[in-house]
Amino acid sequence: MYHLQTGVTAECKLFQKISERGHYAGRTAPTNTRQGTYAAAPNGEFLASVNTNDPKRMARMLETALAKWKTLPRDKRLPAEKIGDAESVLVRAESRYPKDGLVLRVTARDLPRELAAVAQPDDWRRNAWNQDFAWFTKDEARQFVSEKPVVGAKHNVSDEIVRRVARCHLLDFVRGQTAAFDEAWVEKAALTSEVTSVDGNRITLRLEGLTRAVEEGKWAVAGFKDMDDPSKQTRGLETRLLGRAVYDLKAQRFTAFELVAIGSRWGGTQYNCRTDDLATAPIGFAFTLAGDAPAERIAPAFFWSYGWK
Amino acid sequence: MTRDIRACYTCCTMRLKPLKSIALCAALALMSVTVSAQELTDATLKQRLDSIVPKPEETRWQQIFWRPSFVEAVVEAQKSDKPLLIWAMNGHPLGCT
Repeated sequence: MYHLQTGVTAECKLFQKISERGHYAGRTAPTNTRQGTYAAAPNGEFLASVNTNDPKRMARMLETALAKWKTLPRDKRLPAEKIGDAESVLVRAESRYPKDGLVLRVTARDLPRELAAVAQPDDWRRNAWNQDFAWFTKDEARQFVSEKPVVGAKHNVSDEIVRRVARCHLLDFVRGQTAAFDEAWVEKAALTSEVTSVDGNRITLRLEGLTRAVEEGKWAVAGFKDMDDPSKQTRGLETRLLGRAVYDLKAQRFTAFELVAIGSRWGGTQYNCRTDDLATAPIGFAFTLAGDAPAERIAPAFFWSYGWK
Repeated sequence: MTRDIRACYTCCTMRLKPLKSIALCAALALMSVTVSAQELTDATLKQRLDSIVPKPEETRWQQIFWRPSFVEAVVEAQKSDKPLLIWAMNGHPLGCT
């Protein structure tokens, strides 16, 4: 987004042409964001926009956009000069997609809390869930399996990999963006794989582990409201992990992967919508194999913290 | 939960002051609900997984053939003479927004 909002390439100029006609046109405070959903003609002719997760408001925006689209003659909706694929000069993390490695979809969700100190609000937050992707190179994926995979063989998955999962993926992003943990805040991160069966080249694994990360400092937890006056905060996440996976030694890749992490979270960050929900509460994560459709090749939110060379 | 109620009843019939016994029962009940809610074993693994992974009705928006970048969508819109629908977020809307 920052690139599109501030860049000078043809792609960026087109986005700016559209967004400066939209719901946040000209905005500089409290931030200069242009987040939202926009409809536009291929030449950047603005049709409609909104920033909402209310389906009715979104539907109205789409209807407005479609009605305007139908009034535009061809010469008013197509550009005189087309943008080519090469126009995007941004170095995208997606270019590092590990096509021969392991790509997992990560789902995060609050777990039921019957006797919680703070009840779940009666709005979208009650059923919120979010997703991210976790990447592992081919070599990293192999590190989930012992060198000599015989039934009963136990293997500690490398610290570096498990700590990265604790830093960058076992995070409270259920309701919105949050920050990764720094390396120093990871107190525990361990994952063991045990070979439970061997069928030709297929190695079935049982995965078990635990993590804990805790951060203390001073930061905002209420969006824009306290961003100029942050206060002392603590946030943490502690999980137990359990799962099953199947690794194909010949293909050198996982053909099945299901890992669940369940535990507790506490605290909040500026944009993860926990302002009034900072007390300890249960949280769950599921790591499952992603497909290879374009929408499933999105880089992990904290890919740039991976440390990949 | 049945075991928890029995444990609660047992502690409440002990000779404790009413307020203390209620507090103790509440604490036991809270601990047991928290433990059962987070119970993760080989037997409950599938159930836990299914409770976290989104249901089809929660992922209908993923049925839209989103292009992963703005420029890809622009190029295609220009070729096909179709309008653009742009979902712009800090972070990527298809992952961790």
